[in-house]
Amino acid sequence: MKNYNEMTNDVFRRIDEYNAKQKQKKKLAVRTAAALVCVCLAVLAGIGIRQGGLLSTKPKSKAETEGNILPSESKSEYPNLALLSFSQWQCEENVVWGSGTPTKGKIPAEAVGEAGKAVITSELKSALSSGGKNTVYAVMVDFTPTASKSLLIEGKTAAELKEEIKALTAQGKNSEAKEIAQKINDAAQSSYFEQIKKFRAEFASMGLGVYHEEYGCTIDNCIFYTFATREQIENFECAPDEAFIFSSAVRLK
Amino acid sequence: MDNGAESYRRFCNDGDESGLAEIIRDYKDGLIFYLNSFVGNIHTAEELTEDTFVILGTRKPKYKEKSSFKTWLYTIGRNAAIDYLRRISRHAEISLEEYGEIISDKENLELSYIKEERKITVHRALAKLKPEYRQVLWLIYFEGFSNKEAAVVMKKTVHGIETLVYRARRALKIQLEAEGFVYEEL
Repeated sequence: MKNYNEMTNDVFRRIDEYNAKQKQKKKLAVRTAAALVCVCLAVLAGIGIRQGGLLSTKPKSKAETEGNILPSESKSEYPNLALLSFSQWQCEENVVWGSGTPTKGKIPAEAVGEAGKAVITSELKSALSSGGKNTVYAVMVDFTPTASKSLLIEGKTAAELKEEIKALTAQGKNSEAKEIAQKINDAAQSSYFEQIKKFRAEFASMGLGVYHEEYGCTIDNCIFYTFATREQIENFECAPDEAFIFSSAVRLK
Repeated sequence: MDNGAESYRRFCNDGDESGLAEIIRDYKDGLIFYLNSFVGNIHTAEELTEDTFVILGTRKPKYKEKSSFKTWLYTIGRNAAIDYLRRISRHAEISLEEYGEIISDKENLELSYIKEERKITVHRALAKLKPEYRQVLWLIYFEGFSNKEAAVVMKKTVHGIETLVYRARRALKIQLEAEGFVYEEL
C-alpha cells in the first residue's frame, strides 16, 4: 500500500504525463489541421484557376507588354487547336485576325480557286510573315470553288450553271438568270452541312477545328473558319477535288 | 470546515498544487475503503482512489457546491469504480501470495484509519455482505454520511437508501451473530 507521500507523488507524476500527452496531441492536431488547410487551399486555388480560365490564357509576351501588337513568340498554349469553341477563339487575345470590317465570306477579288490547292490571300501571307512559329491565325476558308465543281444541279455543275447565268444576263434574260441562281443557292444550302461534316473530319486529322455559320452558304459564298499556325496554313494538303481560299478572318463584333 | 472545497478551488483557480495534496491527505484512506466496498480488492481500490485524484488534477471537474465536497469526491470515485468494473471482469483470479498481501495491507490500513477494535470487527464482517450493503454501511457508519448524502453518492433516492440501510443492518447483525459477536448498537 502506498503512503500519503507516494500517492501524492504518483498523482502529480500522472497529471504531468497527461498534460504532456495532451500538449503533444494538440501540437499534432494543429500540424495536421495546418497541412489540411494548405491542401484544401491548393485544391481550391487549382479549381478556381481552372474554372476562371486562367490556365487557357496565353501569358503576355514581352512584345505585347511593350505596346507591340505582334503576338507572342512563346511556346504555343494550344496543343490541339480544335478544342476551343468559336466564341472562345473570339476572346483569345493572341490570335491574329484580319483588319477591316467582317466580310462574312466575301471572296477577295484576287483569289481564284484552283483544284487540289489551297490559295492564301496576300493579306494573310503578309500576316504570316510577321508572326512567329507558334502564332495562331484566324482563317476564313472559302470553298466556293469546290462547291461550284462538286455541286450537281439537274446534271450540271454549279460552275456550268454560273456560266449560263452570265450568258442569260448578257442576253437580258434576267428573270431566267435569277431562277438558275436561286436553284444553285438552294442546292448549295442543302449540301452545305454535308460538306462541312466532310471538311471537319479532314481538318481534324490535321489538328484543326472547323467553325461554320448558321446560315449555310449561297452561290458565291461558301465559307467556314479555322484557327491555324503558319506551318499548318502553308503546308495544308488539299484533296485533288478540293479548292480552298485561305484569307484572314475578321473578328466578329 | 470546508471539507476540501477551498483546497480544490486553490488548485483549480490558482494552480496551487498543495491544494490537491491536502485533498489527497484528507480523503485518501476513506476513499480507498469506500471503493474497496465496491470492488472487493484493497489494491484495486487504492488504484481507483489514485485515479480519482488524477481525474481531479487533469479534467478538473467543476465543484458546484450542491453537496458537500466529500460527497462530490466520493461520487467521482464511485463513477471511476463503475467504469473499472465495466472494463475488468469482477471474477479475475488472484494468486495466494497476492491474497496474503492484500489481507496484510487491509489490516494495516484498518488500524491506521478505523482505529477502534470493535469497528474493525464490524468492518471485517462487512466484507461478507452484498457489495451494496457494504457500501451503504461504510458511508453511513464509518464516514458519517447522512442518508441524503449517501443517496447522492450511490445515485439512489433517500427512501431507497433508508430501505437499503435497514436491510444492510439486518444482514450485518445476522453475520455478526453467526460469528458469535453481539453488537448492541445495531
